[in-house]
Amino acid sequence: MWPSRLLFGASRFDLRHLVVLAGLAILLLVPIVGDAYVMRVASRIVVLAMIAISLDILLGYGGLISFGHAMFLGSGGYVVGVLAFFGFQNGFIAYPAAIILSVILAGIVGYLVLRTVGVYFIMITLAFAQMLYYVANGVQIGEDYGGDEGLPLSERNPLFGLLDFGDPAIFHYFTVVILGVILYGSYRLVNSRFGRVIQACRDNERRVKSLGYNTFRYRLAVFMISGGIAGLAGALHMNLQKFVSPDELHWIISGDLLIMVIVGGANSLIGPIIGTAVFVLLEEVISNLTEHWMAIFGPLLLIVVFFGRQGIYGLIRPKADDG
Amino acid sequence: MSGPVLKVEGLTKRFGALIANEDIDLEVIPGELHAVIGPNGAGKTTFVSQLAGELPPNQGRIFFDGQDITSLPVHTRALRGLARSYQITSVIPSFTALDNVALAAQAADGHSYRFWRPARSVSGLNDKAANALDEIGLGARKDVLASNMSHGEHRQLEIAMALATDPKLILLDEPAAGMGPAATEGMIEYLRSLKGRFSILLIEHDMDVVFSLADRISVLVSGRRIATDAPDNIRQNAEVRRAYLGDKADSLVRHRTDG
Ligand SMILES: Nc1ncnc2c1ncn2[C@@H]1O[C@H](COP(=O)(O)OP(=O)(O)OP(=O)(O)O)[C@@H](O)[C@H]1O
Ligand SMILES: [Mg+2]
Repeated sequence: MWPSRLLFGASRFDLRHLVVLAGLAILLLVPIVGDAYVMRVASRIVVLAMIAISLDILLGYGGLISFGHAMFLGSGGYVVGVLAFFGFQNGFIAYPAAIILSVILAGIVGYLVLRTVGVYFIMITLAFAQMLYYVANGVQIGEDYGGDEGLPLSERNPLFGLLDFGDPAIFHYFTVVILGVILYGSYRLVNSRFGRVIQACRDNERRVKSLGYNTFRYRLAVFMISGGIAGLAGALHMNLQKFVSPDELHWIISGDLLIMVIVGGANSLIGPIIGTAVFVLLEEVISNLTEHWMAIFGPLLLIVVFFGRQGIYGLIRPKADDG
Repeated sequence: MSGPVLKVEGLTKRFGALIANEDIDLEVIPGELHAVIGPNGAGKTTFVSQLAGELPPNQGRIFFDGQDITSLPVHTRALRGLARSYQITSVIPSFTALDNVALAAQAADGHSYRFWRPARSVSGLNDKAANALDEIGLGARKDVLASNMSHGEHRQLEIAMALATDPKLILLDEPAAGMGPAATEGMIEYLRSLKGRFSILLIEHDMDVVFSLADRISVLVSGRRIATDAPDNIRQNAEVRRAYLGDKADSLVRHRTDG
């Protein structure tokens, strides 16, 4: 039984299955065949893919173009960092705390931004993320920490010693499992009754209201779910780097996340993962060649967008499929 | 014992200096098909939008099922049983016809904060949606994306959606707008089959449709309701003929002598 069947149902084996299975195989093999650098890059892809998926739930499924999603990369990371600073290292505390606080943050921000639509929504999510960026820059913790220095993590949050995260391979496998859980959970979410309402709002919010749905509440709920997933990704990102800084919240990161989703293929769950992999790999490869790697990436982005609104995933997805 | 399902008192809507609805009183009796006619720009859509809650009135009250709903939001009115269809087609383009109607059925069913089970596997919603589509003649097209359907099919889908919310009163804003003669005929027959099962407020331009279907007709001219009566009396109403029908009055007379 192919694990890809969990995502595509009993449909015939096609390119999508191949891509998912190949990607999974690569992620599982990296710790065996790759060196420390390669593994770091792979783990980074896995962790950022989680937040890309969470962004696509908003953007591709909810029609909500958030230009401030990096705020959750920051919130998850800072929760872990601040807890560690005060001596709370346990992962069973740190990860849930990162999720819960990110959901709360999303609830507050969502409550304020979801009253706007279209360009205003884009601008106001951007404004909120930038506000938090300056807060992170300004708030000093203790004498040597916080502010533009950021926060360190002396060791990865242990899960009662169940897993030895000192070994980067084990941490890598841990993130792959979490990505799998997020992917499957998101697949159930977007196809559920709730997901149906969310997607209908994307197409025609006015009609959904007139059928009897309080669309604001559904959108707030999806914003919070997305924020929670992104917050978990932020916590893992912090654990991967053992460091968080205000740079994580910068609008450029929010923009990068949007690019990952759109290049990979919005309105699909595999697309954002592909987009993240392509983005991170190009960043690594091209930025070694030239500092102005965006000058090469920019035209590549244009090509993808020209070839179809569906992104890279649109090229391998069978026609007339909405799974 | 049952009062009117809809009661409107003194409804007034201004757009700047333009008075789109002026002091409109109107009642819909349970089970009746009440038509609202009037020339272009008379304020018919404005009226419906206030009933549905999309436009706030400047003055006046709206009672639905005996309760004042004037300040309730759109979705609350819908949940209480006030459904509408739009003059300009309003469906979910990326959904299939079945999913469009199932979305409507799901609204009435509640339980939309369910995050795990695939919505498409809920047979109760699917069955209800499939029935609604069968009834309106779209049964064979249920798996077609709404974005790939024709204008006429959109008009039908629009109404199937409104009906799937289990309404007490349906507001239909020109359901046959832009349909060809044959399709209009089908729509009329369908609306006739709804008579008695729902209370209906029908906005319509087409006189044939109105006079063959309505139990009562209200006439709106320049934002004011100038008459409400049975079809035959409306035909003979001098004020209606003078103010609204004008050049169309002849066709009405002909219509009457035909029938
Ligand atoms: N949002 C608005 N802002 C300003 N004026 C409006 C608005 N909506 C409608 N109007 C004006 O109000 C008047 C009534 O419009 P309405 O759409 O209600 O007419 P109608 O009877 O539905 O016409 P039709 O038969 O063409 O559908 C028109 O003069 C229209 O231009
Ligand atoms: Mg109109």
